[in-house]
Amino acid sequence: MHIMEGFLPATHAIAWTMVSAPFVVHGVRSIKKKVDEHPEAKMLLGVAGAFSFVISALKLPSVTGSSSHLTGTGLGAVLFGPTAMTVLGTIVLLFQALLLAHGGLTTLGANVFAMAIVGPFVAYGIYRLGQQRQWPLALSVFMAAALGDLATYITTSVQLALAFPDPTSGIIGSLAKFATVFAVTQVPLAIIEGLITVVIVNVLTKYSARELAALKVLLRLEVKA
Amino acid sequence: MMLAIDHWAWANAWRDRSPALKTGVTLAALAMAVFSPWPAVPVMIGLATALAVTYGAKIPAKVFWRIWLVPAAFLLVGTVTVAFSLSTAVPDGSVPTEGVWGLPWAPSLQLGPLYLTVTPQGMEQALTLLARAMGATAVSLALMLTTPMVDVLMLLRSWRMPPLVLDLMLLVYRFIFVLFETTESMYRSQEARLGYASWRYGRRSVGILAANLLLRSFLRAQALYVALAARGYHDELRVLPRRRSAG
Repeated sequence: MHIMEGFLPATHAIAWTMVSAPFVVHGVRSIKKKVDEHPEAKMLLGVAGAFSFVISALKLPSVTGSSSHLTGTGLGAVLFGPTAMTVLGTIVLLFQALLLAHGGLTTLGANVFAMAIVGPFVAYGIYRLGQQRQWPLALSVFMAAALGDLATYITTSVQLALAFPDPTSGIIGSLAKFATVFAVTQVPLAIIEGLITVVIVNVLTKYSARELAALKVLLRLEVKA
Repeated sequence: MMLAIDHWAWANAWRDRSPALKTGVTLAALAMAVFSPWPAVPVMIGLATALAVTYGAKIPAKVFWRIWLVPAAFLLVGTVTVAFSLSTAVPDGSVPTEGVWGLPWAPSLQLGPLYLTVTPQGMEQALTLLARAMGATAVSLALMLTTPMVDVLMLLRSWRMPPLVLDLMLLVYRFIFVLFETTESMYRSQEARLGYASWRYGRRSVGILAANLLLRSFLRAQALYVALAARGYHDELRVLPRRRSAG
């Protein structure tokens, strides 16, 4: 759920940009290190970014019939790790703003924070937790993708609540409003994203283990051949 | 192709105007629209932009409108949420019961211990927001609809954006179209085999599609690397800018 162009007041737009910038700079540095060692990693990352963009434009068969779509955040975090995903997510968000009118230039910083920083880090953290606790792969992947989406949606609600406190009940009241309104679409979407991400990872590990093993340079997903 | 904005960016009357100029004007107008405390400013900027894009850049008004309304759902939900106020307090003097903004009544709803009301502040905030978001959206649309992505990348290069980031952006841009085509044909074959006949099938089909798309993307990336390496690729993708007259 992208915050649209011009929706945030100027001060908030600038503040979120400054919050997100260090994460993105750190991500670029770590990618640069990887690319210096393995030049082919650049092509893989570029293509992975395009993949995120394309699957985020896929219309999902959904119960509500609304314009629900995948985010790919959980999948990306599990496959590439959260640091690389921060950079790819930022590029994808910029392209979504420029090519699809989803999100905007002034709200890019806020959207990057919710979707390219909080989402991937939560998803990856949960995936790692699941691996440590030896959950079945499907459960780790489902929880990572679904909770990553929920974390993104709650972050966006907090951003909107901070920008538009309720005249009578303040930021808390405003957060309750936004979180409730967006929950209608975002909670089912998180569950669907979790289910589909499990299908994706299952297909990849079952039929493409050999190909994925060849791409180990970049991938964090443990593939049992 | 699926991306109307990209199509018009290459096919409008301002295609060859200086990208630096277009971007500069856009960013200035965007800042004015977002910083202005009066809703009239973004409204005027938005209307002026719509006129400039349709008459100046010769983009059909219908196209502009359709894209302008892409974020309409978010805007509607967002502004209505801002307009309403949620509180545990019984509406008192601060909430006029005689009506707000010319409405004969103040909508008020009791949900258990909570009261949902429209306050004058909330209403004012929502209207300011509506004006700002619509105005700003029009302004950035003007840039998107008149400037091809390749020009944006050239501009970012002159702004000293790190080459690694530029290369990633170039690769993403190029592969978006390649992958869209792959997706379309995979989707069509799945659909022809009743892959989307029910909601359950659809969920599975989308998963399979995405997994295969990802794998094909990786294989394409490897092929691209091999092809570039064979042509002397070292560490940066260099492309020649198109020559243009200034201004």
